[in-house]
Amino acid sequence: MSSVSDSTKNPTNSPSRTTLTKYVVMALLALLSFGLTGLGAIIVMFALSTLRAGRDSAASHGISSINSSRLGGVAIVITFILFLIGMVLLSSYTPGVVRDVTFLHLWSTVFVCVILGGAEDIKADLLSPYFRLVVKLLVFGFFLWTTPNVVPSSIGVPGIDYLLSFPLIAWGLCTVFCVGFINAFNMADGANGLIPGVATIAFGLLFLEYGRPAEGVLFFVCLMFLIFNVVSGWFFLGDMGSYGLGAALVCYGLLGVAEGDFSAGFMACLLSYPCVDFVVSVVRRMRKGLSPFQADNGHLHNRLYAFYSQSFKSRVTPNSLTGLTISGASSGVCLILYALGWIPVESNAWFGVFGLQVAVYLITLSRLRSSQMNESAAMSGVSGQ
Amino acid sequence: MNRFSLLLLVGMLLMLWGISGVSKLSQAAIGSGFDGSVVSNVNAPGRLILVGFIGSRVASELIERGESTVIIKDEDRSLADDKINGIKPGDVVN
Repeated sequence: MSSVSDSTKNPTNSPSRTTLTKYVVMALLALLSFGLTGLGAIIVMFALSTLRAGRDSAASHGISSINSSRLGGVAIVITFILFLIGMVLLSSYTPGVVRDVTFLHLWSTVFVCVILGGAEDIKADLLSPYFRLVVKLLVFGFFLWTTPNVVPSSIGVPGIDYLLSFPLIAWGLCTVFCVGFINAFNMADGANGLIPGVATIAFGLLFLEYGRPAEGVLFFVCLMFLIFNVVSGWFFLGDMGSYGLGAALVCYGLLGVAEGDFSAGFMACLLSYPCVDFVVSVVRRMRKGLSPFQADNGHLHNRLYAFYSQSFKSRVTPNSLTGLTISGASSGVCLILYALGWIPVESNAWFGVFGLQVAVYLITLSRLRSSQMNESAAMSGVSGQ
Repeated sequence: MNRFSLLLLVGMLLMLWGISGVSKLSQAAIGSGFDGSVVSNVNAPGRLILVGFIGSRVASELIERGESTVIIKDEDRSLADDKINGIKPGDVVN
């Protein structure tokens, strides 16, 4: 197995003091949160981050300024599978896919999305965007057609509830929503700890709601990846991670809403950042006459990173702060409200919280944009003198 | 053995150790008839070292929810079946 040593991260043979500090911080956080089990997961992730395959140069990313591996999704999948195999071997745990056909279909859909993303991570542009979109539409279309109990019959929004009363329209709407959500999750994966943070909180809340081992393991794996990603910056989630986690969350979310375990407003609030950022980015690009899916640096996380990078010399700190700020201010708010128990998870009052999150997003985006425009005007004034 | 394989092996063994530890906790909970002694003992030093502060609470939550999601070894099935009123360990799990 071809791997890169510390000498790649550092010109000398021994790791630098910063690298050693990162090792210690990661190990301490893993030990505090999940003990030796967490330390084991961090060690597996570290081993995978040293592989030559999937390495990206700093120039190929909008925010990151260090060479990193985009095999974070691979690390999550491997750690998750290792944990499940361990549970099956060391206990009489029976995975849900064996006993429930809904979970079999659900995880088969997630598996196809993971493979699609993995192909892109191993070799960029191996599959065309059009092909990936068609496969995702087909796989979600098939999933929702074969397991109609996952399609909600109402979400508490009058116009949409009327449309959802027609099974065929409900199936089409949910298919488009699922594919859109996965793309939104992938698009929002632009800063250390942003999507891993959202996924950690979401799986944590799902575990608290249902108490099922699968969500517990996903929470554990996402938290370990979050620690590794935020502290070191050596790993990106990659398409495999964002497609896989996005698919798992949208499937579990739809199932929970369809079964009435929680409201659509609660899920919207929990996963607000990817959804809002996706819609706002598409509208912004269309207003400029660009393709709605053309990459740019106009996302909130890009602007927040530019804001933070003025205050920090470190290459990783502003990146990680950006991700943690956004995931904490979006999904974190949902977690706090859930923990306080002020709003029941089945309540449509969560739509009000979601509305507030949208307002905060738009105000912050606008303020960061105007401050950056003022700065660039000042810079051009200085350079013109 | 190169460094990559060694790290992978050590990481995997540590994770398996943790899973085995949670499995033993479940057995202890079944052995005590779910009297709450295992679930409430979240700050036991050995348990904290193995599964940490969050992991210890996650394990307790898994055991508390129950009987329905508890993880035990095969040889303890008959014992568990007697103690949890017909709900077999591993039921309703995912």
